[in-house]
Amino acid sequence: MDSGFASSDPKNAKSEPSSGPESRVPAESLCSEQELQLLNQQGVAGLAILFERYRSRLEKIVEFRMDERIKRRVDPADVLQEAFMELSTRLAEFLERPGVSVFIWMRQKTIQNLIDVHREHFRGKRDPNKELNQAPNWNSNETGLSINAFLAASMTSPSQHIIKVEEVLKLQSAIQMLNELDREVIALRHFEQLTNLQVAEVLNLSPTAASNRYIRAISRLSESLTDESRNQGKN
Amino acid sequence: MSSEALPSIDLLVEEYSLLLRQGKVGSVEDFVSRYPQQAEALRRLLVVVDMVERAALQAASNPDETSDTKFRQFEKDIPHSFGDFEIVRELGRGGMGIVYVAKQRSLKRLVALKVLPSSGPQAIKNRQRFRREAESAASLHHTNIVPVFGIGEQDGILFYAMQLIDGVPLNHVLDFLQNRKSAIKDKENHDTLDEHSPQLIPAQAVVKLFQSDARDIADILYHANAIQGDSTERVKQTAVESSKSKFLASTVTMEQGGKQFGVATLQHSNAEPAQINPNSLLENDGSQSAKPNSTQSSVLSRKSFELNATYFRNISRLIASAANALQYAHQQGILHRDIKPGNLLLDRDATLWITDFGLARPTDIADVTQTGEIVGTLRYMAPEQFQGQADQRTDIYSLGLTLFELLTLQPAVEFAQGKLKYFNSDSGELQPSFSRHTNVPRDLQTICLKACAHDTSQRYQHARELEEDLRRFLDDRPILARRATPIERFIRWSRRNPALAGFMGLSASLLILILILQAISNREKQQNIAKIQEEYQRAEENVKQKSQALEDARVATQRAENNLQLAMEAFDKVVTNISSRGLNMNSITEIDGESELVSFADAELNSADIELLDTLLSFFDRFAQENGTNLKLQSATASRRVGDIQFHLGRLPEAEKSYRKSLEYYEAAVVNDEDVSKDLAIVEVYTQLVQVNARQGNMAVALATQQKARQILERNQRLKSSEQGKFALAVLLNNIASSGLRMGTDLRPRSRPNLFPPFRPAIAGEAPPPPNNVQPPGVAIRMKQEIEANKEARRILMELVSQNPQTEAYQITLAQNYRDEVRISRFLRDPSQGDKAIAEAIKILQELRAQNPNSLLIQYQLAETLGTPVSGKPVEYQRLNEALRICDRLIELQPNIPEYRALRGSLLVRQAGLRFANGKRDEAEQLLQEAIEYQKSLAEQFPDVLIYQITYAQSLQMHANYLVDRGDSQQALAKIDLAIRSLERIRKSRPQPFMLQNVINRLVETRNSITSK
Repeated sequence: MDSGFASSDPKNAKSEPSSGPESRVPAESLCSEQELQLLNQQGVAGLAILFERYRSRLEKIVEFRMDERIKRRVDPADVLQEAFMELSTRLAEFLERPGVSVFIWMRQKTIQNLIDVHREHFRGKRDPNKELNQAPNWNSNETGLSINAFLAASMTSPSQHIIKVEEVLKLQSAIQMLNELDREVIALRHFEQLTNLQVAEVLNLSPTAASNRYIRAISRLSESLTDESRNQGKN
Repeated sequence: MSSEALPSIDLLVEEYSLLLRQGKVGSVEDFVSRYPQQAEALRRLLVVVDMVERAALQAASNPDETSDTKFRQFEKDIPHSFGDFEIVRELGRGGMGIVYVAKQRSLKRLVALKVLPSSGPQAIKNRQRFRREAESAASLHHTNIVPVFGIGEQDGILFYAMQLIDGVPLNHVLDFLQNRKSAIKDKENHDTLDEHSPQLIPAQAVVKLFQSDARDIADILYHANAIQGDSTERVKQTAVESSKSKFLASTVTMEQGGKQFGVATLQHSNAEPAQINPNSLLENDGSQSAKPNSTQSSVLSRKSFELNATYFRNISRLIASAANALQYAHQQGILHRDIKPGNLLLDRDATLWITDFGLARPTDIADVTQTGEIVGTLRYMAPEQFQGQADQRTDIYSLGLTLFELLTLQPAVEFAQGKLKYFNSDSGELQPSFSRHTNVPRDLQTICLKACAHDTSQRYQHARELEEDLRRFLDDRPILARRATPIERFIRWSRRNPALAGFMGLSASLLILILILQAISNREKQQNIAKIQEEYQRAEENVKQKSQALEDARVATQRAENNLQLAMEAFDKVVTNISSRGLNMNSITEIDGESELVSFADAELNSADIELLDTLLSFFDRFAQENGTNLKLQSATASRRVGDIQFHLGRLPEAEKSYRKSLEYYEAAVVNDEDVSKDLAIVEVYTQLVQVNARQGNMAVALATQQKARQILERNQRLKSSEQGKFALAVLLNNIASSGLRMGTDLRPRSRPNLFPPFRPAIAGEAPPPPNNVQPPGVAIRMKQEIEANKEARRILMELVSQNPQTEAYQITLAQNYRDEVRISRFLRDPSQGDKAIAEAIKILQELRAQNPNSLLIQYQLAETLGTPVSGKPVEYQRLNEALRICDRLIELQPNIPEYRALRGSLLVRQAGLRFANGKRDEAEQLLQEAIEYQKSLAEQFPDVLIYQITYAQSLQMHANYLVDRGDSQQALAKIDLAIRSLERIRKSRPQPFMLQNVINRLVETRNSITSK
């Protein structure tokens, strides 16, 4: 019965603060209907609010996906800013037929933006593989590089107690041996920290299919690793 | 692995990952041991997952990976010179970039240089636009607009140069006044200024805002600059003007909660520190604050920051100049689009400067290092800007919000719990409220509110108008802006929120109305009038004064009349907003020259509404009594309103009294012969009286009254032949028919229990006719008269409709008429007549709907009509489905309107009946149960609303019938008992128990018949 206004009816004295869903649920976890409702009611303002909430996650994703070479020149925050502009322009479109959850929508636009940025900076060195296709998925070739870079960062981290360098090296080469899709799924689940449902949205699969893909990917990675160990053992 | 096991494995893996990220799990084995059945497969997977996650975690903790603020990163790249400009020092940071003080080499002057970091696509995409706008901004020459000198680009970094303003942005002033940031550091600790560190300037400037001569701000700012400044030239200059500072320093006193608010005074040789005794002024926590011969801190008191009249005037002056600048820019075709305190600078000469003209849009700006900053810049955005539209009124709006904030030290807009909320207003109100800040001069409040009206048409249309009103205020002249009276605001509000006003908001809107009316209560008016009479007496000698007094009295009366007028309009609006409840039509009122159908649903008001209506009633009553002599017509109308209210509260005898009083006034009022409105009103009152009497069962009186009304119509040829007159007659006749019928069902005794057929469920308030046609004799005669009335009304309405095809009211009334005929035909057991009638009604309504696709009233009527059964037969399958479809849509659009839900309930009941008739008993029962759920919730939600209680009970009865049919007598009995109980509870509080009593009786009969089996 939430009409968006708090009733000033004296009978409903409990009014806004306690009846709104946001007050009972921690700010981060609005469910998707509530998010859509917020967007419908508040438009760009609501978008701004949700965007703020997801900002740090999106930033991490951008950082993960951004090519090393442009990291010096482009601030992830700017990519986000541009993305927000896009999102606000496309908000009405989105609300008409949501299609995906709000966070994934934001992610898609952000990555699209990032791709644009890459294009700008690598102008002239056009790689046909980098042509943008309809589905705003990250080009899987790039994922491999991103993963590498990401893992590299873990090796140079001052805190070495979570995982040892040798292990990371093993992991790195094992991942290289996977096919593109497997890498992609693993990247989405572990480096972008998406849930299975979100992965399904991104890859346009059913949740079960996404789940299966993931499990298979991990299995293959596991095999890869044991091969690795065996090889290393031999050496 | 089987496909069944996989998903759950995935879930476990997901869970493990999550736990690992939160640090809540020790090792893979720990986790695996919890799920022994899948241990094998799980372990294999988790070992890998574990590795990957840990690698990710470690990578994330690498500081190189965490993103730096764009400025810090950016700053490494910033060159020290941009072409002609050499950077001196940083001035501040805004959303879009950093502002520096720079030296323009060629001209040897200092300028302000705003530098925008180039970033990915943004600068590239917007470069063209930015240049274009900079060019237009550069063409602006106005005292209050910061001139743009030039724009350039170097190394992909955009910059533009503007005049360096020796001043402070208003948002810093506000921050300081709001004590949000601690204010002052003395020179020794002077940091690089950024958003987070306090500014030296505000304190003195601010204090000056409270002092009489705004020009003195100049000195303060100047002095303050000197302290923070870098050039010795300036310091010397201040020596000359130091006398003022002494005066200033002595006015400041105490401290502010442990924090030291200091005013940096002069530090130069010519200062006269001896005249300022820091010790007498200082009261801090004893920490080392003042160093002799250097900056002395005095502390500013809370009290000195009480916003006083001078402050308000100074602010008005500032905003007026801003408005002037805006007017100029708008005339050049340039909008600012981002007016806010941060873009308004206050300089040493107490001049306001608007900066960043046309160079920014709010959505460009975000200081992404701050959470909620995007939201922050949205705070001053006008509503239409969110839609992407902007015109000169947009800037006015933003300026209005800025003004509000300056006057109240509160942001006008906040985001609370995901909703936009104006300061201090009830949620849903579209303007900030000054209610807690009543020391702001009222005229200034009015100006401010007009500037930031939500609706563009309600704002000042040009900045010039705003400026002029501000200047009028400053000159103590009356301003042009008129504050909407609470009544007008209420009217507008309820226009915007018909659903709210009609449903939950009814009580609220009535409450508001009451408050309004109490504000203009007679006592107040009487006081005024008494005062005026006093004046009159005192001015006996002086004729001139007398006429003035008379004039005042006239004005007061006029105002009283206007208020009444507005109050009545408001009342009508409230009532109109219930018009989606199309159940019964009782009166037509003219509003704004258009006929609007006002339908009162009987017994639909809940107790809060009733209470409030009561209060309204006493107001109107008082007004009518006290003004009987002077304002007959108005008193007549007031009495009539009283009658209306009493009628709907179910207080029929009182309503009758009021209506008769109203008639007296009407008779006594003298009007132009040509004016039909008085007679029309009288006819309408009589129409109401007919209803009143009919409901009480005084059919004889009702008929007599009807006669009288017809007489009046006859008497006044003009009226009779007028459209309105005809319509009034039709309504009159319609009323007799429908109310009579309803009363008929209430009073008719039951001779046999009504067990079958169960698939003809009761329509709310009506009962199916007795199976063996037993009717008491009186009814037959009444019937005849009602049929006559129905026919005659039909004739008139058809004529009206054919002559005035555009008038909805006629068509809707005609449709009502047809529906009444259906009911009649049911009693007459003439299905063919009923069929025709209903088909006609449906046709009319469908046409109406095509013409008015958005009218919910019409759709509701259509749905209800479609669902009306004709005698002896259940509703047609198709019609019922369509009715349900329409009803569902209505509910979707307005989930809060109970009538829609009630209709859905009855439609479902009928559908259940259909299924039952087709032998699909289980489905039938299911549908019935769904319907009962609906009706139950309505009954519980609205314990005062009779109709809902009755329908609920009747559906329970029907369910009981089904159960009996199935052989489950015990359940059936339980249902009946439930129904009886709930009704008994209600019965005690009802003023008119007739209807209830009948229903209860029927239930009891049913019960008896079950137990007797």
